[in-house]
Amino acid sequence: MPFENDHILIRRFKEGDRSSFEELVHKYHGRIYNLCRYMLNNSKDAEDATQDSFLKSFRNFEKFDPAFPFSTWLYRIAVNTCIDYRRKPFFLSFLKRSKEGEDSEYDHPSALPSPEESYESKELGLQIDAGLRSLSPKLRAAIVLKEVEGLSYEEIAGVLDVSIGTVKSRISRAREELKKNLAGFREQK
Amino acid sequence: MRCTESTKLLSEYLDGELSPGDRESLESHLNECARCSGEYQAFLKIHESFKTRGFDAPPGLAARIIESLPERKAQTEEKADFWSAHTVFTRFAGAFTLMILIAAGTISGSFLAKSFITQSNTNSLENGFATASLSLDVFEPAPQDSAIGADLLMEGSNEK
Repeated sequence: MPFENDHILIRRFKEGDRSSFEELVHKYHGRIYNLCRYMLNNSKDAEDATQDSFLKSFRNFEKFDPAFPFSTWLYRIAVNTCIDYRRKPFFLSFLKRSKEGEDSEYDHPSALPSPEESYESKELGLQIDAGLRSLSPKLRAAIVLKEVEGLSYEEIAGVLDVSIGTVKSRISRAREELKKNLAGFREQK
Repeated sequence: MRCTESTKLLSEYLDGELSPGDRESLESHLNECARCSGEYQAFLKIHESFKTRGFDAPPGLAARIIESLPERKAQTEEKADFWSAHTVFTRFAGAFTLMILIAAGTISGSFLAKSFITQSNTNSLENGFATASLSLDVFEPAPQDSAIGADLLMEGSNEK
């Protein structure tokens, strides 16, 4: 029961047990990194955004409503952090961030394809990456929360603070855009 | 089911969020329509490609995050927060008081000005000067039967 465990950790943290928050970091940092990596399409920014998201949640912990899952709140912070990263002025991005799709040496895909599948999977992966880059942050967040994090429409609505109808529409539009992008990529080849 | 309806439902169908009735109608349409079936296969391919692509967090990221967390708020910081909130309140109170003083000054100033004019008018009357003496009425011709009028008439006849 991860939901209950989170609430126990949260209660302990509120009572002054710092190690409980550290447990939450260990538990969620992988998922938050994965989300940020897909949102920002760049490992260095994803790492910074993951760190910022946990820092924000730590500093604003009194604003967390225990009636909702901690993960939903954390995802919301991470999505907003990633959107803010994309909004940063050009000169800041020039100084600090690397470009989208520019990966560092420690970016490890967690599910490696078999050798015979590798070429096709890699091609498809590149097409998906290119397609994601072309999506608006709102569409990107919706499709990533669905496809990567496997959240339900209701959970995504909670994270993005929109109605379930809006979530359905955004996911459908994102898939349509990705499909068009894939078709365009194949036509070019 | 028509193709336009089917296209709208494909995404929800893929996510398993369709009602049993809609799911059944869509499935029977997909079995008959090659175009819609192709659309669904394209969505499915995208869905599968996400499954095979996940990114592991870099080693040591959790440790770096934990290291970057600040110490929990000490008593003094809480006090500082209270005082900073207090300062904001004081600033608002100060601005409000200043506005009240300005408003009171304007109102009392207008009252004082009015009372000054009234008082000066009363003094003028007491000194035998008509209020109208301050106005252009003084240039109106003096009545002929008044003392000044008689003088003016005499001067006029002397000139002739």
